[in-house]
Amino acid sequence: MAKLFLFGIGGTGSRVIRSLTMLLASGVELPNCDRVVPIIIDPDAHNGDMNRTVALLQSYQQVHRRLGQQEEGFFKTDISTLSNISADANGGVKDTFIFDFGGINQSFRQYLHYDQLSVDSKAMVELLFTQDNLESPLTIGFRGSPNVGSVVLNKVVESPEMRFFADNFQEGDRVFFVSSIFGGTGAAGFPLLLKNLKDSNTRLSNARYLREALTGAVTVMPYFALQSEENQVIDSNNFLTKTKAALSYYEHNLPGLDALYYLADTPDTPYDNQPGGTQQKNKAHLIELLAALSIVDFMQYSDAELRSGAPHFHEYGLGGDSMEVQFGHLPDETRELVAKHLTQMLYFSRYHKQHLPTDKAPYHDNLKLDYALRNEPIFRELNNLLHSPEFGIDQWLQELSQNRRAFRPFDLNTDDFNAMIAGKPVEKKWNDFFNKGLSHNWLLDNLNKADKSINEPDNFKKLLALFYDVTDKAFEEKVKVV
Amino acid sequence: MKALFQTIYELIGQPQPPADTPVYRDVIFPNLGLLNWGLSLALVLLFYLGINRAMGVATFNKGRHWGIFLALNAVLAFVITLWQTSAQQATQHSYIYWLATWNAVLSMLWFFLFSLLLKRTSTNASTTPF
Repeated sequence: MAKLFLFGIGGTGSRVIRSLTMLLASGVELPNCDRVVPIIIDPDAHNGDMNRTVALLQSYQQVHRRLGQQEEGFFKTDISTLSNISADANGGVKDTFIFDFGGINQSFRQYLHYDQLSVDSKAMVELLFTQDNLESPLTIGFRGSPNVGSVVLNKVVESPEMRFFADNFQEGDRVFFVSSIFGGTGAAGFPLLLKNLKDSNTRLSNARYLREALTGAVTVMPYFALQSEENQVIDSNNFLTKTKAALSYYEHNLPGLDALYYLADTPDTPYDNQPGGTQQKNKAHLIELLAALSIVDFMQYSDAELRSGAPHFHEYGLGGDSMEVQFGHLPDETRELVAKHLTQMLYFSRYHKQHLPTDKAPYHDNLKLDYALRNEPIFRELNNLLHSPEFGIDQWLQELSQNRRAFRPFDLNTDDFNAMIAGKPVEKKWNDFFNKGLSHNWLLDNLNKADKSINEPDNFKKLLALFYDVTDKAFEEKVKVV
Repeated sequence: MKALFQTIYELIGQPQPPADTPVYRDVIFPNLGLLNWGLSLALVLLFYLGINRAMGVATFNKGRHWGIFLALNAVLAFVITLWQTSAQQATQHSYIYWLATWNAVLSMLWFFLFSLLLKRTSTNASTTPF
């Protein structure tokens, strides 16, 4: 049972994992592994981006657990916490997707025990770190300072989580790192973790498996800017300089990497300048979606392909340079990978919100949805996953469409299923009076038909199977191509 | 068959005037009975298999829609009774209206029974009326 260990480092790591979770929820396949184990590494325990990603992952996990293994469908891929991968409950690891820093409630100066250092060491510290670095509270992360991160994150390597990870690492498992290169946590954490995992003198168990494990990474270069304000610790004008500095380090210090993906975009409207904490909650961005797709791409390569001529370097180019990206602007390969699944998920989410509570139909009666939607916790969880204003799929699509550059393949303001794919309305034949395209009636009719053909006693599993089948048919028969 | 329909239709009493009893028993009751079955079956087939399966209409499957067909069935059964008694030149009598009402009630019963038998064959109304 091969696993993918996915290290999401820093705010970008969390946001990319959010996008990957959305893709997996919509049914995108992740080949060559049976389970994804996200490990979010971010010392900023209150980071808004991280917390909503964790809420999403927990919700996904509950839904997947109920669904179990399936050939295809929404929420097909198993996402698991680190502690769940082993039957050994005595690993001393919390059942969470977040690496436990144990609450670093101190400044960097205190963390270094600066006051107890010798004069020479103090001089060295002052050479490497600014006063601002030293006074910086670690509770909100490293505030864009990789030199701070590279010290603090050493703690990760000696942690019980990392030992548990190594103890349970098996032959055939893969590792993938997601980080940004222009911030603090990601830029420092990625090379540091990689170096320690691939270190031939490591004290971690299963060292050979770790060393030989296929390893990929996506390094996100600047794709957003921050508002320039007085007294803000992060200045996005430095992003490019920091990127160049980090790249020159990466050039010679990424041992054992089999594939590296680079992504970047020209920043447009700047984000609020929030160095960390609950306020750091950036809108989902196309780059994060593409970074998530790099994980899918990495998993699509066979072992032999990845090992021959490694490391492989990848960049990404849109089919067309538009500030409002639709399916038509994506290269064919990407479009084939995501268009159908995202459309299916949108149809499902829309139908779930607009029609499911009020439908009077055999499928609805047979699944006892009147009762289930109100009373069964798993149905409420699904509702959260789809419609939560905090972490739901609707919200994610909204954010993607509102950001700059916008990913706007759907018209999210229409209730008409025929008009939901931007620039690609479902064709209605002029000579067929009864052909209303993708109408509520068509969907209902096909839900009722599928209800008769799918033999599944569990009403939640059956509901998801029904909608996957019907939205698949809707895409194949009504939308056809995008 | 004649005996069956005679039993059913005479549950509301003997035909009136008594002189018309033979025509009722020999012609009108069997005609009404068979027409009633045929009508109810046709409407049930139209509702469950025509509209709610073959035509793919999925929004005409509520209890109220079934009720419309039930009422239509009753009205037609009432009208058929008037037509049959007139066609067989039965004497005008208030009994005809009682018979028409009883035929309408019976038609609803047949419609209900046929619905129970055939609803599972429907795609969109397999749980209608319940």
